[in-house]
Amino acid sequence: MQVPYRWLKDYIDPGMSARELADLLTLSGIEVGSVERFGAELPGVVVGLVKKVEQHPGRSNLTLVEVDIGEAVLNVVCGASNFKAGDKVPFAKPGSILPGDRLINETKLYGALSSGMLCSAHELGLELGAEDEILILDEQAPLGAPVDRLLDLDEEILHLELTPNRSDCLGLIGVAFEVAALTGANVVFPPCEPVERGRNLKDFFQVKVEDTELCPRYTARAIEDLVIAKSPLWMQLRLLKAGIRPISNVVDVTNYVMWEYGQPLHAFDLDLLAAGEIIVRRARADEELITLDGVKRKLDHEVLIIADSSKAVGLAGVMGGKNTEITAATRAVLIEAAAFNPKNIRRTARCFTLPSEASQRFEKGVNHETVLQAQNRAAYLIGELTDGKVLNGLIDINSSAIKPWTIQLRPSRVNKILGTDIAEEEIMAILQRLGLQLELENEDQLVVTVPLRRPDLLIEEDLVEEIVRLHGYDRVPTTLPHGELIENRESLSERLKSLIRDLLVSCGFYECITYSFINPDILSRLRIAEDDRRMLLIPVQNPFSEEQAAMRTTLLPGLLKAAQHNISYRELNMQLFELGAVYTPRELPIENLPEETERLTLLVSGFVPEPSWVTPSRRADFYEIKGALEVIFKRMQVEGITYIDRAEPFTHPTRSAQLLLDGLKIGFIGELHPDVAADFALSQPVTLAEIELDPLFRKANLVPRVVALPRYPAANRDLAVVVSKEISASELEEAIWGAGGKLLSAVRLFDLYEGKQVPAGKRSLAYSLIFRREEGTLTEAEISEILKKIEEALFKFGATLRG
Amino acid sequence: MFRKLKELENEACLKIKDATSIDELKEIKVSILGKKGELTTLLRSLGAVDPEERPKVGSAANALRLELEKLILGKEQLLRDASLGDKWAKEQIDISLPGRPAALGQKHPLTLVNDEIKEIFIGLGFQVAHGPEIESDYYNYEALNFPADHPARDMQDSFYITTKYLLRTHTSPVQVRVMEKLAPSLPVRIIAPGKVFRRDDDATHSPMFHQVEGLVVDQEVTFADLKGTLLLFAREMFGPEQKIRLRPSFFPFTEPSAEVDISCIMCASRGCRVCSNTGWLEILGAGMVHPRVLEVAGYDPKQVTGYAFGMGVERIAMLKYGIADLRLFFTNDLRFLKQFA
Repeated sequence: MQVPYRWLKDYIDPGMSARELADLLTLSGIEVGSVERFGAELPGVVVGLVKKVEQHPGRSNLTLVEVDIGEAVLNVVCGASNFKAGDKVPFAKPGSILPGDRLINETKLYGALSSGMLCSAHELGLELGAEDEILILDEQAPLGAPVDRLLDLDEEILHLELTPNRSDCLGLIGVAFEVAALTGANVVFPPCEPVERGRNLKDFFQVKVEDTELCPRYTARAIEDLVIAKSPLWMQLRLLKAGIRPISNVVDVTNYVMWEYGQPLHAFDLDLLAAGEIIVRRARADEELITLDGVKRKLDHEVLIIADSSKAVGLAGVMGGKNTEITAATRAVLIEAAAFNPKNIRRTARCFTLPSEASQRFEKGVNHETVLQAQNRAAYLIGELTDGKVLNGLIDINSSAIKPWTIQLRPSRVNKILGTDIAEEEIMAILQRLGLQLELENEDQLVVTVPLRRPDLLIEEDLVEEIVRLHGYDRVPTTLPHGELIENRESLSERLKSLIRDLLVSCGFYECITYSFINPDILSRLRIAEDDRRMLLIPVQNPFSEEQAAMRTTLLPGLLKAAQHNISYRELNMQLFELGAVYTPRELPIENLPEETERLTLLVSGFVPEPSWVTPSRRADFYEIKGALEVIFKRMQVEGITYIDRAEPFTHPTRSAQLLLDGLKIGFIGELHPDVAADFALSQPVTLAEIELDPLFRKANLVPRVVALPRYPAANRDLAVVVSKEISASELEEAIWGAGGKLLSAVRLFDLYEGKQVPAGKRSLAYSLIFRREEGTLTEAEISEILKKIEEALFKFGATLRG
Repeated sequence: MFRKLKELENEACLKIKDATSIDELKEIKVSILGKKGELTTLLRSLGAVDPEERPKVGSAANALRLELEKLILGKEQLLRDASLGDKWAKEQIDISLPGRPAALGQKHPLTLVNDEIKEIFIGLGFQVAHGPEIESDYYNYEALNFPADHPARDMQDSFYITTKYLLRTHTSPVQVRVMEKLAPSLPVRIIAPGKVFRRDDDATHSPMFHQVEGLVVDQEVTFADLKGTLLLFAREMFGPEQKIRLRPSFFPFTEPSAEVDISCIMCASRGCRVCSNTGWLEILGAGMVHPRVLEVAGYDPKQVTGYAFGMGVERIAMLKYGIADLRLFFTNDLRFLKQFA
């Protein structure tokens, strides 16, 4: 809502500057987003009187104009033709500067000297009239006066950012009431008693409201014998300052009054309404209406329309019909001021995507009382500004049952809610400044009567807010709540998620956060089969784009995008992870809340650690992720994790593993399939993993059991074998443990070699073995014996000892 | 006797200081502290001293011995190091080389801020609660006093799943869920962090962002308590000099309601581009829980009051870390993430 400050002053004098008022309003709940000067300064542009207009000797489309500016009479060449001798016009003297830093100089045009310029409104920065039309000023404008001051271009505009509950401030008079509450100044109402003349409207016209629920009040007046023209310059300027485009005298008045009262009005061409009748009714299913914007609208039974006896003439409260539009030919108008059902207007405006200043006000509800005042004000202004006759009689179909209501208020409760000590007298004074009527019923019991203009005040707490915002939020003390202690440690699963983040950060991973929605297409690009659980997507009904079309069932798309992004910026070395929810429907379309389960997803690519002079880098691969996961499993003491050779549809056929926990799949690790990587424009190998966290959390145990330290030293032996590549490391390790018996306490693979020094198809694995006995040191003989058993166990796999 | 000791001390110190080799130092040591050394000799003549004076002279002489031994040892280390010059030169390292990198990653900045917010409120005795990201219209709107077809719903444009379910537009539904679970027991004191979604996508809006909700319900919770809690939070988060300012506002689920500003951390409230020359930065919305919300969730608004607040984590992170572009949070650019390492 734009509030031109001088216009506001017609209804109240705040006794302070626009900026001071803006601060005061902001701190009491009507946020003023900005205060801006309306127009540009126009140095050198003054009021000039056109003395003489002559044809340019050389050019037929130009005229020579003699202009009196008081201090001098000057001659200019002009290309416009909409003015005549005797008109007052804005005149830019040589040396003046117009908006856009346009400097006006003395020039010669086709042989004639032009000492300045007559200006159009556009040249002065005003969106008025045609671009090549000279702005005609009022006859009374003083000669030589600066035009910027004459037109109040320095007027400051307050831009109110209203919350939805304060629709009462969608009109300047409503704002004036708010200012009155803040400053104690009085609200002055504009004149709204039209002089009635001629025949009585009721004698030849009638209004029928068929649905009083959707239209609780409808008023109409008629003005005859008028000429549609421009409205006076002052009104056009005020509308511009409010952000409204001036159109014609009648339409401008309806908008002007809307800005004053917050009550939208509509004007029909009275002669185009058939059979002297307005019917307010629901549209029929097959009905159509071409609205003022020229668009044909298909109506339905939910749409409230204004009709005459033969046709629809307007969408009630939203937009008028083309068929009864005010045009230059209009000679008589019917003015409508009405109250409509907010929900119905909201539906219609949404349905036809026609949000307007009018529908915005009806949606929030207009004051049923002021419908009539606005109607009369409009009739008064049209009567004053045109030659038209405001007809006798007014039609007012009023079925509104809304009356001012009362709220019980206990001053003690005010202070109890606020934690303040505001005196009863101050409470009463504040409520009175707001224009509320008070009655002291009992001790600590006020009966407050609320006027219709404040529909937001319904319960005691609403009044508490009114009191504290006028008392000053800054004057409320600061205290801390007191009360019983409660157990407030975070839940185990939250603590485990924190732990996972900490562990991965220590492993060199960076945490990512990606959108919870995905483009379903990405799943097909990952070759995920139609019957895969990850294809059970919950679609979003109204996404902006395909990127938000469905809720994610895997975090992989987000991390893949992150990898793409980083590679494109040459950040090639990455270890990324994300912890977040995936969404699984219980049925589709959903009828119950879907399941939201936590996933951990990891992605590595490039070299880790970052290449440096001192630490060797390695290609971040499968084992990078497996190692990080093992850290997590170990810290949570989760046992029962096994890996099986199985690829995902989008992973490398022989570099992928499925993770099982107690035999059930909880996730996978795998290098991205080279074809898929190519499709995603990933120019280097990428390895991914995703695991479900709930099964892990169910088995997690964060409390280690400490065993006593061994009292005797351990014996360390290394063992290297050459064995076929077909034999997996885990098979070998299992065999070592099996043969090592109780005295074997640790097995660590410390070297793996494939290459020239071992036969083709084989590899060498070197283990460091630790032997220990609880009671007493092991002898060389004992160790040799166990070692031999282990070697024999390995020989069963075809292994040979490596020298 | 004391004079003699003093003379000996001066002389010995000079000799030790001037010694140029370890051998010379050894000779000096023998000549003073050896069996026939000067100090030893001097001590032998102790018998001639007045018995009254004897203990004092004795302890002074011992102190001198200890001091000289220390001096000699120090000088000896110096001389030895000096003699090994070649060895040191060979073993020299370049201390200007960068240290061996420890491969550490980092949490996302939003997690860092979220963790800090949680820490502050847990310290104040709040529990941490969670709720679903796909919510029902009932919890997201209706139970929070947003009637169907009400313009207040326009404040938060929603992503719908069906007519009944949507992506939650704020963390406020958790208020209702927690109260329903706890009613009628008191106190309720929670924060609820989480993802929220609004149908907005431009330079200053992201379709997904994070909020932390706060809710306290008890017998005598006041608006002053809300102010006190938020002031404390602002000071913990942004520094002990912080001020807060509450402005009246509107949320359907609180009454009275407030927008809360903190003094601009960029310009110390002098006025700058970030605070649009107001000296204040809006960081959260708050208010007293609307009686209808309490009632719907199972509490008697005549018996209890409550306050609630909701803050945007991105907004706080942007202010705290000086981040100018909201989109940086969700592109996961390592050049951004590594700045928090």
